[in-house]
Formats: sequence, C-alpha cells, structure tokens
Amino acid sequence: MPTRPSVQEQIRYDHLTWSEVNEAAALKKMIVLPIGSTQQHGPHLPVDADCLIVESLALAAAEQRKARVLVAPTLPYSYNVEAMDFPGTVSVAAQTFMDFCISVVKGFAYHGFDHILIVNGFAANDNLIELIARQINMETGALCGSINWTRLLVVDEAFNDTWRESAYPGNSHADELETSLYLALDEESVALDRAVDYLEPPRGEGLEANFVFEDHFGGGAIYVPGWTSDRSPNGVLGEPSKASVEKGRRIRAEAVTNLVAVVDDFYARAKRAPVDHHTGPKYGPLPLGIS
Amino acid sequence: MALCLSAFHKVKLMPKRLSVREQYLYAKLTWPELREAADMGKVIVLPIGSTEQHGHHLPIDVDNVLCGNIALEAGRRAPEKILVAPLIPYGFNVHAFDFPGTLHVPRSPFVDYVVDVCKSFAYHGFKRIILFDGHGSNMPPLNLVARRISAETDAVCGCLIWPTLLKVDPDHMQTWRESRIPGGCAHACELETSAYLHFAPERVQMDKAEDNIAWYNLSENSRFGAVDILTGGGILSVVEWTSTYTPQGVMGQATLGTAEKGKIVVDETADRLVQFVGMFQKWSMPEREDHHTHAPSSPLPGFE
Repeated sequence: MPTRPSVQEQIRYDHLTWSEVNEAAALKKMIVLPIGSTQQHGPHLPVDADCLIVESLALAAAEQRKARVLVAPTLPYSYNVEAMDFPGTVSVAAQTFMDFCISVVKGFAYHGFDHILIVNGFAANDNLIELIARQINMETGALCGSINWTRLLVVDEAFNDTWRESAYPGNSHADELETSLYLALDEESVALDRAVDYLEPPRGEGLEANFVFEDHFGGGAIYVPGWTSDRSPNGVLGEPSKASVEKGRRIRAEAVTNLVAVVDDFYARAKRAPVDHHTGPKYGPLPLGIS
Repeated sequence: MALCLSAFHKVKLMPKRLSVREQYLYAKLTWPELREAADMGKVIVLPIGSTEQHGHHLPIDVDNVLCGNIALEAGRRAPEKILVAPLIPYGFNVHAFDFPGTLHVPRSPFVDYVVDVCKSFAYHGFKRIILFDGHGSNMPPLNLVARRISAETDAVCGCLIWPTLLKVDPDHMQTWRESRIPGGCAHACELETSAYLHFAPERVQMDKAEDNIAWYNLSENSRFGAVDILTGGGILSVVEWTSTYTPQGVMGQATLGTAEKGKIVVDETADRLVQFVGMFQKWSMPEREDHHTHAPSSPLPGFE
C-alpha cells in the first residue's frame, strides 16, 4: 500500500480532503488549471490530444514544485465550433465556456488560493482564456494568469530549430509538434500509419502570403477565422510524418522545464492594488460587465 | 544506482491499437473512428461529477472517481456498445461552499455547458446519450439537460445518478448494507466510502472516518424530511447549507465502509448500466403528433 502524500507533497487538488484544502491554502500553494478541448486531430491522433498534453505537462511541472503547486482537474470541453465538420469534436458556446471557467476559478479564490495559473491546450481559445483570467483579476482578490503550452517552447529561441523539420508555416494542428509530443506521452494510442501530411497553399504571392497564415510559432499579420474543413481535407495542418517519439521527449522536457520557470515567476508575483484617480462622485458601477 | 536500474528496463512490445469495436474510450478514438463508432450505434456515457468536500476521510474527487470508474467498468464489460466520454469534473454545488475545496458552477452555465457537449455528440450521429451523474445536486439541472437534448435534437438523452442502479434489484441492498435506514447512505457514507475503497484505498484515511446521521433523518426531529441515497427519504425536500446539518461533511455511516462492499456495489452498478445500455440502444421514440388544427406560426417558446 503506497503511503498517502502529505499536503506539502500532494500535487493534485482533487486528492485532498476538505480539511487538507485549508492547509494547502495556508501553505500558499498555487492552483494550476489545465483546460483542453476534445476535438479532431487528423486520422492518426485521438481526440484527447489537447487534454492529454496540458494535463501531463502540468503534472510533470508540479512534480518538481510539490510545495508550491496543486493541479486541478482538467476541463475537457471548450469552444470549438469551427472543427464541428469532423466527427468527435465537442464545442461549448463561448459565453457558456467562459462563465463555467470563471465560476470554477472563483471557487479557488473563495477557498483562499490567491494565485491561479491556467494552462491552455487549444490555441484558438487563448483569447477566451485571457478574458477569463482578466475578469478574475478585476472581480476577486486573487491573481490569475494564463499561458498556452506552445509558448513554453519559445523561451529558448534556439530550441525549435533543434527538432523542427517541417515547413514553415505548417506546424499548426495534429502536426509534427503535437504528434511527436503525443507519441512521447501515449505512443500506443497513436495510429501513426494513418498520418497524412497536409500543408495549406499560400493565400497570396510574394509578400501577400504574409498577410494570412498559421503556425504554432508565429502566424500572419491578420487572423481570418474559417471552417477547419475548408482548410484541410483530413484535419491535419502540418507534417505529422516528420514526428518521432524522440522529438516528443525533448519537446516534453523543454516544455516542463519552462513551465516550472513560469510557475516560479508567477508564484513570486504579488497582486498590485489599483489606484483610483477619480476625484468626483460616481453614479454607477464599473461598466465592464463585472458582476 | 540510477545507471544500474536502466539495465532492468524490459523491451516493451507495442500493444496493438484497439479497434473501434473494442475501444470504449471516446477520448482515444480519431475522428474517422468516431464516425464509425456513431454508425455502430454506440451509446455515449458521459460521466458528470463534482469537486466537493467528502468529510475528513475521503478526498474531494469522490464523485468523479466513482461515476468515472463505474462508467469505465461498464465500458470494459461492453465495449461494443459503450463509449465513455471525458468526464466533467465540476458540478452544481453552492450549498457545500462552507467546506474548503468545493467548487461550483452556477445553474445556467452548468446546464448550457452540458447541453452543448451533448448537442456535439448528437451532431456527429450519436443518438443515444446517458448522463451518468456522481453528485446528487447535479440531478435537477441534469434532468433539464436531458429534456432539452431530447426536445431540441433528434437524440434521446437519459440521466441518472449511479446509486439508483442499485435499486433495480430490490433485494440487492440487503446483500451488503449495514447502515441505518434512512440516513446511513447519503454522502461520504457507507456506500461512497466502500466504493472509493474499492477503487483507490491508498487515498482513504479510514482512521479519520466519522459517522453522522443528519438531524432530519431522526423521526423525532422531522416527520417527512429524511434523505438517503438508496431508499430515497421523506416526501418533503428541503435543501439548506450543508454546514447546517453535518459538522465534518459526512451524512451517513462512513465507518461501515469496506472495499469488499465496494466491489459488490461497483459490480452490480456496472452490470446494470450495461443492461440498460442494451435496452437504450433499441429504444424507440414514438413520433410526435401535432394536434393543432392551424399549424403554429411561431417557434416553440424557449426552444433553442
């Protein structure tokens, strides 16, 4: 029988009892909340890729900062209407998704956790996650930050050159990056023999091609949303054929190292008090949709 | 020492990837495989739990661990019929907020969130959906979700909280239950403690388990207000703050929990779920019949 970890050593929020949650808050642990998406990832990757990636990175980083971090249960469904032409994708209305998350995060704040870090697995939702974190910071005494996991790979500017073989632009979905990492995390669930590359043709010639394109590591000047099925016949945007377990292990190690650094940085950051510069009376509440 | 250990690493043979018929995890299928799973008429089982206080002896993930693992157990027993979707770990729970750790999603976003998840399944061709709940207070909002899915899509949606499957065989409870009726099985109780001990005994602190029969379960205090997961309770429902009727968060007799009882109830629940899935696959919905003599000229009210 393995021994039960102490509150100091426990990295999972949901494995604590309620009385231990009091202790964890008193220990000033911070909450890491992974948010994924259940969505198509081509004919070769399961639909849980985003969830698997953020949850495993969060837990691995927490292992290195047991005294500071509690990982909350991963939220597996988010806003994703553009991929609904591919069976299996789940989409929740944007407002509903945000209200759901805001309530969960407010729960952490209510119980005495003043630092909450959201780790997002689906880049298209980065803006929604930012809105969630912003509202928490305006409406509660807690500090909420957010990060998309792929940002962890640009901390060392030279890192991506050490593994990337696929074309730029091109790494953006079920691609060399996500496939490699999935292989490192759960190889037996990948149908690698069915991986088929797809690169979108450029949207214009010469410099015009720079207006609109997508890549995990830098997109075009303008974001033009559209249906995934318009853009890719099989749901892949990139070159999964260039993926390998070995690349995935290195990507995982780099992401975890930098997530630990982000945790340390965010943990040390104190919430600063706002300064109200009005001199006269106010005749209404803040018009920010704050409730 | 670390170097020496590496010599013991065994060559791992790659297990064969499961076929769509064999795979019961929605999360582990690709999109073309999910199309195939829908064509096969697999029933979606969506576990919905809660992150909520469960006394001093159980972690706050009880509802998730129980409904999630029972759904998986049913999936293992009938993978050709069942697809277990990723679990929703946060539920409707404001009444328990005096206990640290409990998380809550208000009624409207909770209902809308689950509705959209189910509408996504229906959109992709899954026409039989079971909301498999692990948390009592989720049931009123999940009833609403099931009604909305059945009314607003061409899918049929059923909802249940898992312990109700233990009532299908009225004689079953006598094979394991020792706690007081009513009130011995209500929350972090004989039933939940036993089932958790079955799945993850290393996370249970039985030395901290305490019993508590809530005041309303004593007939001298309340004639109609009893609450028990398995026997139901009184005819009167009154929902108050949890901290008004339990000092430590237990409602029932946690000290009577054992892993052996847990195995009995988990086996029974998983088998009954498989049995119902078989029925539900063949469930026929009678055609609607509009009895207006003048066809309505406006949409149904509140229909989204």
